[in-house]
Amino acid sequence: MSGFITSLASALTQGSVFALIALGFLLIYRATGVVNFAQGDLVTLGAYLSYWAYHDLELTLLSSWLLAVAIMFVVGVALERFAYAPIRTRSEHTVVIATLGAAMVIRASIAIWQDTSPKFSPDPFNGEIMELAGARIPYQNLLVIGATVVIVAGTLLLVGRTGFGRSIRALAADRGAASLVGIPVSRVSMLAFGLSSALAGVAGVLIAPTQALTVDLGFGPMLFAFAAAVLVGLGRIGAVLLGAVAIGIAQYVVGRYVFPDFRDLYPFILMLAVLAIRPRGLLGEQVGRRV
Amino acid sequence: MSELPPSPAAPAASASSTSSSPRARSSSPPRSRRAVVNRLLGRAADGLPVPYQRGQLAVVVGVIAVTLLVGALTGGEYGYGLLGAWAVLSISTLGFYLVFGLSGQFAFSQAAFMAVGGYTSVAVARHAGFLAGFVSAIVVAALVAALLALLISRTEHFAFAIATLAFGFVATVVFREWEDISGPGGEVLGIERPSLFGHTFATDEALFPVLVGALAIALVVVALVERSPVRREAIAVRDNPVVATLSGVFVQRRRMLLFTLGSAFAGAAGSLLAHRSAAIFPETFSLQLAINLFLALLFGGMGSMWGPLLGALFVTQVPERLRFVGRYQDLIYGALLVVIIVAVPDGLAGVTGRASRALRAYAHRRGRTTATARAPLEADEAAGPAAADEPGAAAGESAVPGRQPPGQGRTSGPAGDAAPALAARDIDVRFGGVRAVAEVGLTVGAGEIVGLVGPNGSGKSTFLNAITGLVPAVGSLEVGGAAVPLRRPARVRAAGVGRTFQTPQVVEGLTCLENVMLAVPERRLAGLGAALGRRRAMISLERARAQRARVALARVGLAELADTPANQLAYGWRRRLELARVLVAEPKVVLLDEPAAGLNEAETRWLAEMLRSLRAAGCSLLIVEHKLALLNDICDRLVVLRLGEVVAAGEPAAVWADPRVVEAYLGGGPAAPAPPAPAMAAGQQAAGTADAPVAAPTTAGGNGDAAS
Repeated sequence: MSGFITSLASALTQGSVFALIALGFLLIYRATGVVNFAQGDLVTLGAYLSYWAYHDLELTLLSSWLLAVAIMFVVGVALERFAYAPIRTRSEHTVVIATLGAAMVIRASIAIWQDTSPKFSPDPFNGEIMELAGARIPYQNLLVIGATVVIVAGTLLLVGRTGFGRSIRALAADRGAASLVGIPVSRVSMLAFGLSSALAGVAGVLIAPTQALTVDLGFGPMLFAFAAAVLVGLGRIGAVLLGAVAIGIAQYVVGRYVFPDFRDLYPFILMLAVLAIRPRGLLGEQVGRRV
Repeated sequence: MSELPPSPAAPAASASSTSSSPRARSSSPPRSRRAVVNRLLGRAADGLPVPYQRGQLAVVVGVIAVTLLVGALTGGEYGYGLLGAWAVLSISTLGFYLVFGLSGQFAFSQAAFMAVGGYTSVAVARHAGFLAGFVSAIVVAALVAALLALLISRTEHFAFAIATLAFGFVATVVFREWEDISGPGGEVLGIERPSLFGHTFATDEALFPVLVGALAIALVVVALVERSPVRREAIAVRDNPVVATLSGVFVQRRRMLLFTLGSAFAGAAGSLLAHRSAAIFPETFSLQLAINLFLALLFGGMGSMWGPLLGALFVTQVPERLRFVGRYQDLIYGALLVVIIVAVPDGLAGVTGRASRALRAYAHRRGRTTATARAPLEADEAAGPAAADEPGAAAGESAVPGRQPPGQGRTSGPAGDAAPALAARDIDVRFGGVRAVAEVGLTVGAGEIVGLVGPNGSGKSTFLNAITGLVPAVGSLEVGGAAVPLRRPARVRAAGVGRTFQTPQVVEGLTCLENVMLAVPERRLAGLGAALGRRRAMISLERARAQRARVALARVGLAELADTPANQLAYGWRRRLELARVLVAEPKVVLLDEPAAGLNEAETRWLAEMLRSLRAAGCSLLIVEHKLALLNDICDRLVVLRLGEVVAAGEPAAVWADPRVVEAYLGGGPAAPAPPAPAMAAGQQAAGTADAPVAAPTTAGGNGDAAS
């Protein structure tokens, strides 16, 4: 029983991380129609930035986190300017490959800046652990889950209820038309990238204490976040939390009992199975293309 | 009405007999030289579309010769090593060209299929030798690819990309963890060097001819695919799946075919890679390799089969050359990737292609007058006058596509006893809470022209989309008396329904001729088997298709532009191209969505003539249109939609006299002024008297020159 609860807690924690990462690329996806493959490496960068601010700048833990997220916002804006804006009008494929190039640059830069040896980040609870029905759950994990719920809700409000959200949706629907009705498209686009990157930063600082810090920190979780987003239907922000938890459960709960060596495969097998039956995901609209 | 240029838009019959490309005709010396070369190489491209006019096989011979030469010149294990690596990566990239370049499938699985091929080959070769391993690598990769494609080929492109990425991840984990087929951690070391018929290729130098041979086979296969209907259909699937479906292409099957074929190439490359380096690690086939394959294709250029060769050269050479920067290697490589994508949109092959086109154009200008540049213009002028008699004339000839009318003197009007050409009943379409089309019933009798009118948003286009299966709908549909299921565009097409779109839909990546050939109903030998194995029969069928397509193009006045890429066409020409594509399929029923939008008076007259000649050839038409004068001129009946419901139907005059129709159009104010349309309807026979503000006045009958 305690094993089950432990695995469930892991599933929820990891699911939250996937949801946070997914939230970041979905924001850009909604605004530009393109999936940002650099999201995982942005997460890594966020984690390294907080590590650097805490150890080298000797800030308090909280201010190191805030600084990292703020820098990440700037990185996102820069990414928009240098890797996205110049090729915005090209095919989606080209843009995606450019984001892959950006990912390589980010990762290589991190490896040069901080070497590749694993680092360890402290958490605000000094590693304290909560006991629940015999299961031991780090407080950091609870923080991850709680923060994720708050951030997903906040993002939903931002996209659904504010002028900025309307601008983003307008951009996604028709960039030219959005520009014609007076939406400052390039500012909205930069802001979307900045926010998305800041979200990656949040994900980075939250997961850094839960595991060793390496240059591959964010990449693997990004794949699972992709799976979560596709599982429910790419583009759906609210539902991604659901998808992410399903992915977490497939990986940590199912993976605990069935061939644990292969547990990393279960999320993808789940996703492929869903796609085979519902090509647009569980909650995606199954409609034809309009002409 | 000025005099036609000396080489006019040729009438149907003569246009098709010889190549009618304006470029070819205007510059006779290159033309004849090309013909001589063609004869020497045993090629006969006459009448066939552009891909058949290129000497792919000759270039393959050249590439292989150069490769062998470079190998001999550079010599040494290092040179052979790099060239060998290039050859292997080229094979995989060529496969990826089929998957992503031709059929547009955004796949990250190419590297994973190299792993599948590599591990299969190593496992089999241990017991049965290299050749068996190599062959089984191809077969297993193809089988796994087919299975994966079966699962996910209906997903949209980002979901597809992520699914293939996931497959790559799965493959890596499986090969790492499944130690029965590999070693600890997925490593297999000390793989035997390849051997064939008792001869072992122990060094890179000895192995080099084997790798080049494999590359040659891969190139020949791709070249044969390029010179076959497979290429055309793949590009249609990539650029416009809706048009592909409505032209009769099986979209899913084409996707699966090219995915499987391209992945089989990866399997072969993986096998060669494993045996060449005598070791295999799961990490070799990581996402980095997948990205490199994308890079090779993007950098080389996706537009031609030669791009992969250049791209593979870049990807194998550049990291090698970047060794000196040490730990900055990845950084510079990544930055280079971004810079290249930004700076070279269509890759190296694109750059050389553009350069050679520019050179040719320059030589052309020097040589003769600017026939090439003027060609569209000429056709434009020619179309007006030529159009006036062309459609009618064409319809009378027996060589024309378009069936013979059942009885030459058949009367138009609602069908009496025969089954209606098209009968839709209770068609209902909902978008969320909006009922866009509400239980609409509509019949088009055999040989009838029915106009579907109504204010914007009344559901006209949605109705067409519903009966052609492009939006989910309920209701029933019969074509020529036989029931056709809704939601199945391919079935609707097969039943003999053709359609055009409000925004003209063409396949941008194909020439006009190829666009039309796509829809020729004769579809035998269009698959991979014929492309590789039954060339002669396949080519003669292609020639027949091209012939029919040229006739259809001539009929819409596009004969001159047969070899022009469709993405270079102006709006009006796209409409004509669409029409040619519909005509060539010899439909029983044609649905036209605002065919006259954006056309000027002369063009509208031409269109009216064209539609009449279609009817004379036995076609039934359903036309959505806002140019009411046109409809009043040619329609037997009108159906008026408002807010998704039929408010009136009947003869044009009667319909326009109906107060509900007036209300639908003008919002129903009692003090509304007399609408132009009823006035026009009253004076329908007195052509040109109605000064309808909405539409150009059209003339009844064939005296198209009367107006203005």
